[in-house]
Amino acid sequence: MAEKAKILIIGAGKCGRALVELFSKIEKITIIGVVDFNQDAPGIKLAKALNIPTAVDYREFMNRAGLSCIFNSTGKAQIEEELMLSKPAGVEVLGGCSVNLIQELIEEREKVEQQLKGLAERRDNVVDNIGVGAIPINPKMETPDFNKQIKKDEDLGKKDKIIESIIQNSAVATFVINSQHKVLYWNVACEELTGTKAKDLLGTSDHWKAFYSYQRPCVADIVIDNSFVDLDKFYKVYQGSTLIPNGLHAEDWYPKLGGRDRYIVFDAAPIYDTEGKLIAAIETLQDITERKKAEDELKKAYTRLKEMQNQVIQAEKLNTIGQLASGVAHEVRNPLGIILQGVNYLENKIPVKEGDISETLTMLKDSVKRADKIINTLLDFSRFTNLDLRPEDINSILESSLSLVKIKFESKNIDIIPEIKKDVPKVLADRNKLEQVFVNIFLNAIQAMPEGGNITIRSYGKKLEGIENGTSRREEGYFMIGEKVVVVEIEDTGVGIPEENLKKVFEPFFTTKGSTGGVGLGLSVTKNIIHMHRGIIYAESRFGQGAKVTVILKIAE
Amino acid sequence: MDRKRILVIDDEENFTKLIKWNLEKTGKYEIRVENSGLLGFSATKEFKPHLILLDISMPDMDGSEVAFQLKCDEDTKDIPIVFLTAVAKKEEVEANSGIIGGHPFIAKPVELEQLIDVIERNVY
Repeated sequence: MAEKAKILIIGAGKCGRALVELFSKIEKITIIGVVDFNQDAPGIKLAKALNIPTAVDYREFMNRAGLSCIFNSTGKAQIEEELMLSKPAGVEVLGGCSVNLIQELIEEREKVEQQLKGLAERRDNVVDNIGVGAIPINPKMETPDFNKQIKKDEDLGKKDKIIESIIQNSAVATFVINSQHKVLYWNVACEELTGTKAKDLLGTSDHWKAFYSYQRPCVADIVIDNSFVDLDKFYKVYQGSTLIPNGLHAEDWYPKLGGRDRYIVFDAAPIYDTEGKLIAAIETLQDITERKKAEDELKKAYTRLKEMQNQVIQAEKLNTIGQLASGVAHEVRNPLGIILQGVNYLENKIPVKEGDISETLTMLKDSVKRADKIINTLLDFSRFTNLDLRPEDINSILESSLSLVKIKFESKNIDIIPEIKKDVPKVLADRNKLEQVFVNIFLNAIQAMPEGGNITIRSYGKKLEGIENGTSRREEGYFMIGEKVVVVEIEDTGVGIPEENLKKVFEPFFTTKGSTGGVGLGLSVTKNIIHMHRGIIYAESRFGQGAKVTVILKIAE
Repeated sequence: MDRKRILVIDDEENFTKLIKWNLEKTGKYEIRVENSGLLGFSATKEFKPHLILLDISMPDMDGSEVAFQLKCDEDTKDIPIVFLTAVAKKEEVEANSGIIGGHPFIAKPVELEQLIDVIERNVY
């Protein structure tokens, strides 16, 4: 058609209005009139707004020159019939189906337009917010909306460069991955720290290779996937970031990072677009190896210091007790000496050994002897500063201890059952003191078996599995689990020790032997000697079925 | 029989009194008592004892110092000394065959019999 097509639209309802809107935009079409008996119809209003003539009766336009097409969008078959009869020659009448089709096409086109609009908006947002990673829609695409984007992309390029600059120029090792776990940025500081170049990682998901020898998530990956279970699985030390909401913090040792053993602190944070959608994660790494080493050294030094302090305090206490003991010994023994000399004198003064007086003097002498023994044990108890520690064969010490008490064993009808291991490792010990210890234990065993019985002696080396049997905290500090030790067990078949007494037996002055027995210092002295050897001693028993004393000692390295 | 002279140097008065009574009762010894270590040396020079019973822990001058003084002097260096101590343990004394520093040792409290035994074994 050389000139514009002239059309008439009958029926200005929704459909008619849509037609008006559509055709009014097309240059090659002129709407000569819009007709509807309802002058308030939407199509009429639009037509008036567009300066298109309107009427109530279509016959007003029927004979216009150049009229090529009449659209009947009334949906009324009657009007269709009328039109068919009264139309001018050469004029097409479209109604019913055609109009419906056009309507549908219009709706489709609207939908598509909306979608395109939506896409354009989203693209704008992505570009505005981070300027990276999004693949921009070809700005030269020919729809009117996108023509505006070409200018935006120039701005976009600038923003992109600024962001890149910020990241690159940071002295803190930084990398960024997108929601597909692909590396977007890997700055120079990061290359330096990890020894891996950016060019090998950009656009890939190989960032794990910079840190690990097998594929596993970095903190940034965990932020993207929100997979906190992994945080627990892969990191020993981690927490939510205190600085950044939804950020994560983790730390660990990396033996081979950039060729050296490093302690790295990781912080990863999420990056959202303006709609709140997670689109990337940024992770920074800080090498605090020196600081961490210093911290660890400090902790170790502190622990050692505390330990030494405790030892010094102990030694001091013992020293004081030692001094106290010798002072007491001296002060008490002198009067005892006088008493004894006095008793001797009186003994010689009595011409005949008169029963009562004689007996009295004997009692006095016995008392002096008893008091003297107590002083002896007190001195024993406190004299610890001079442990002469050497590597010793525990079996040989056991043997010599046995020989010291052999006579007692034989006289009391007691059998010795040796179950010693021949190749027990050597212990670090003061032979004399340990002999005292074993003699003491043997003597106690003998006293528990007035009718005779057996004493089983065991010695062996073992790896310590746990500290048990009422040992104190102090004793627990002497050994480590898994440490190789030497164990001595002395078990008798005597009367046993009641449960409530099992720990008490090692306390000073605890005795069940009455006035004829000892003063109850033997086992506490024994325990102190063992402690000075940094060993452990404990007793087990079932009342009525004998007792077993176990001694655990350190191996001489 | 000539009595042997024994000088007892010990700060404990009652002890020395009793020792003197007990030892002199035997008829074998003449006892001189000195309760101060400072006077021990001069007393030795004067008394010329055949044996000295010397307490170790005395407040003004302890026995080992007195022993040293005596050792340094020609006249006194060969006089046998028996140390008395309240602080050593009997086992230690026995373990060392009753000898420490070259001199015999007795631990207090001591029975008269034992004392006489040691004196007899060592007296000049």
